[in-house]
Amino acid sequence: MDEFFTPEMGLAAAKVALSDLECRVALVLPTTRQLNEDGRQPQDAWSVIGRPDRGGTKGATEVFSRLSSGQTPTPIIVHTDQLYRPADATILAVLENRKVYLSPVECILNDKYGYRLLVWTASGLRALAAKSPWTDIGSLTIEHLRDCSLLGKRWLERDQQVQRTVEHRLKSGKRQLRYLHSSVANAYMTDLANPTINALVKRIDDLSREFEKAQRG
Amino acid sequence: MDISSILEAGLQANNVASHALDAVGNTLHNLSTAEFASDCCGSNNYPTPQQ
Repeated sequence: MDEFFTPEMGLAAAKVALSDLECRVALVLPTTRQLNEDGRQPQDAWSVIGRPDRGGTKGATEVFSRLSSGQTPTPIIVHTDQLYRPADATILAVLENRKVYLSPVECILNDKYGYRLLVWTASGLRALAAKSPWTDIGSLTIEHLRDCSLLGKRWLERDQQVQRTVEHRLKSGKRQLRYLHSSVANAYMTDLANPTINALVKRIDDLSREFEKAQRG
Repeated sequence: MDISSILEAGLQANNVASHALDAVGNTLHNLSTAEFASDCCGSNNYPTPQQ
């Protein structure tokens, strides 16, 4: 583990490499306890994008709003490994042997807001200039996530990454639909013949069938 | 509208929807807790939460 380029080394290298004038840089780093707790993240000067319920991070939309409003841009740390939920990871990347959902945050920063990307990998920081092809950004993000798994237990978001898969989302969606069906049936037990309730239950059933079809297909 | 702006708008909409779902979930939880407490107290088989 020691011989490869750690996330902490990545942050240190980025801080050295950046000039004071270069504000539009987004550094993609994994979530590790060492980065979080050692106070190595310069959170006062950098915005940190991740899940807002993880301490010290902001949601991507909050940062985008600030950039849109013309406020002075700051360098950004993106914890793309925290952006795995359906609401955050909205782009389906089709790989050779599987499909995974990725967040569009890096693409938006790079394409719309002109941010240069510095992406941590186990072999070093990889750079992508502003307005890079989206396929390059996607490929590098996949490489980043793959290398995160080399961190083992040090990678705090390791167990959550399954939520990027189509299989997990279908399974989770079916479970939520079953729960919704039960809730509606329970709440309107005496009123299931009501056309509005009936239509709602039918719609839930239709959606369940679509999920099952997608799982088979 | 370019694709970046469309995706950004999508993230914003998801964010709003997530907050709305959280609010609905919290309301349902509070309602079911209140209903449970009411049922328990009404049956006289269980003490009220204050006791």
